[in-house]
Amino acid sequence: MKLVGVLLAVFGWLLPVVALNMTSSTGMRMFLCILGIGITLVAILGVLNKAHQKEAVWKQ
Amino acid sequence: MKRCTWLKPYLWAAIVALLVCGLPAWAQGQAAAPSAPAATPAPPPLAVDAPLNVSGPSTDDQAAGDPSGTKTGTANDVVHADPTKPLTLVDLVNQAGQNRIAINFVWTLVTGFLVMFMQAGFAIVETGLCRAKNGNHTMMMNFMVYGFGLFAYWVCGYAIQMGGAAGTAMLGGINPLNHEFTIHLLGHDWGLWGTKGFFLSGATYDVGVMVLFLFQMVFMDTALTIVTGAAAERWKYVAFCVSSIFLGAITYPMFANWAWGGGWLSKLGANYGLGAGYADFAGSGVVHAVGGITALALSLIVGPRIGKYNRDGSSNAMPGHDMVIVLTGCFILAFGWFGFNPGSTLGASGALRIGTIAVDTMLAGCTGSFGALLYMWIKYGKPDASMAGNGLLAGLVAITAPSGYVNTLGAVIIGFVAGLLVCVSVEFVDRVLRVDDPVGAISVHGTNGLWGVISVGLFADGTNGVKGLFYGDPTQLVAQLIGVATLLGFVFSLSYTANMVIHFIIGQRSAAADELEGLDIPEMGALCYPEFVLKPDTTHAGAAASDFKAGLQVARETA
Repeated sequence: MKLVGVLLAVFGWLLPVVALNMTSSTGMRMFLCILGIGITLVAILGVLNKAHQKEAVWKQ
Repeated sequence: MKRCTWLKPYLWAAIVALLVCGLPAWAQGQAAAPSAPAATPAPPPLAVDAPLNVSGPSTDDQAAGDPSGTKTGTANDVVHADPTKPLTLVDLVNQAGQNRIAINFVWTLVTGFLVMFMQAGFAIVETGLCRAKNGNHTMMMNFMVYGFGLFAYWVCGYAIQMGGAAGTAMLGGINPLNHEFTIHLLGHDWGLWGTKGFFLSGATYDVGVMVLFLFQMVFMDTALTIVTGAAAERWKYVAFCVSSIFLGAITYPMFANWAWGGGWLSKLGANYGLGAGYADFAGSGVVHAVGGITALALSLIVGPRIGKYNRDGSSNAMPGHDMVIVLTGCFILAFGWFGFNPGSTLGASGALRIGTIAVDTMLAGCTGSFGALLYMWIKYGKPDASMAGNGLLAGLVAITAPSGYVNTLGAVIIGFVAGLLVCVSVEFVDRVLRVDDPVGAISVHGTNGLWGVISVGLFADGTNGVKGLFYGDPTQLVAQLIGVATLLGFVFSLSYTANMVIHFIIGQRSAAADELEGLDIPEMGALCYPEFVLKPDTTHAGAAASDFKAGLQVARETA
């Protein structure tokens, strides 16, 4: 799960960067940026955090 | 048809009056109108090496003293290329250039010294917000992060960050830093890291390069010291040493190169027409978000302190031990921020907007503390001191990126939003994510660092080359959002992966028994307050920690 979280975070970063060459529309670029940031946040705060919470000290 | 014959005399009178008053005025205007310049002979060409007939006060005059200051700083003080010959125009021009760069060197160095002093502010803020039993450990992390960071930055960090940043006119060009490693991809060049300046050797043994090194180094150290707060009270000291060196040597310089060292983020404007490219004037993203996001990665890895959460997942407050040093530290940081933001012009000569930047900085800090104070007062009925301090810092963090581009109204709004945001973020991180951050570093520096980056794309008013959405340019906001995605996707992933590797090799977290005792003796070998009697923790957190301790004892006996 931790590896999936990291890979998803990297994907969320690369999405708006690569998309710069796909479209010149400012609106579409902005949408893809927000989408990428959203994916990254889900990866960090959702996937990775959940994986770490499983072994949290207060659950032991 | 009835004619208005009675109007006739009045009309005539008006025409005569106009002629009487108007003609002289017209004549005066004609006389004042510039006449064609008469052909004057061109001045003779000035011989730049011809001796100038100027002299300062005599040696005898100066020997008599100069109480009024009129005999000091005259032609006598201009440096002659050849002291045996009289002063020439070349000498004057060279002196003017020297003066400009000298002013900028002094400005950049002094503001760098102010930023260095922020280390003291961070140290006492973090120590005050931790429990007394971890005082020595927390203070020593903040103390040594300066040395570890500086050393790593001298070895390779500075070269990676600024090795291709030649052309900084404010500091005389810094031309020895002239090579950026670049790849050609998707039809454009992507600058990734600099390659000149390792160990500050070779041609980078240069006055301008040294001034920039000092200034950039203290910025880097600020990012490093943010992490120590989030992982305080349970971070193994040896892991802290290795992690800090990695952050100072690789993670921070990489992103800083992309934003400030001529890397691909700074070129988004030229390559893709996105405003002026990623704009981060003094480092909300480069310094604070990098520190705050790395702090989040570390906090996930080391996990929460024993006693922070109950078995049902509810959170316990673990108050710090000294609010006096916390708020004193906030003042020191606010003072140091006058180096952070105005100093980022890299000079005073040719950068008179330093006044605006300083005012923006103080206003945003002020409204940040207002926002946090208001939030806590309305929601909890009391004006919370530690959150007021965090609100001040949040406002300062948020204004760091836009301080060079926004007006005072923008600064006030950015700061106030930051003050509210830090409170919401602290609650979210603590109660929803269940990530333990003893000093609120993730929220103050991470969340508000990102807010600062975004706010450039919204509030930049175009007076200094960057125009945001509210002033008519949505493309700048896209550049800023790509910066945010890079901070979250690249910086977090790199920091997380590197720290997981450290975790597997040497372990990031102190032993549970050491943590319960307090890290001062187990990790550092000495108490912070040896003459104080530390009373047992009777809070919910203390009870939860006692439960854990009992469980640990049972587990040992069973084993």
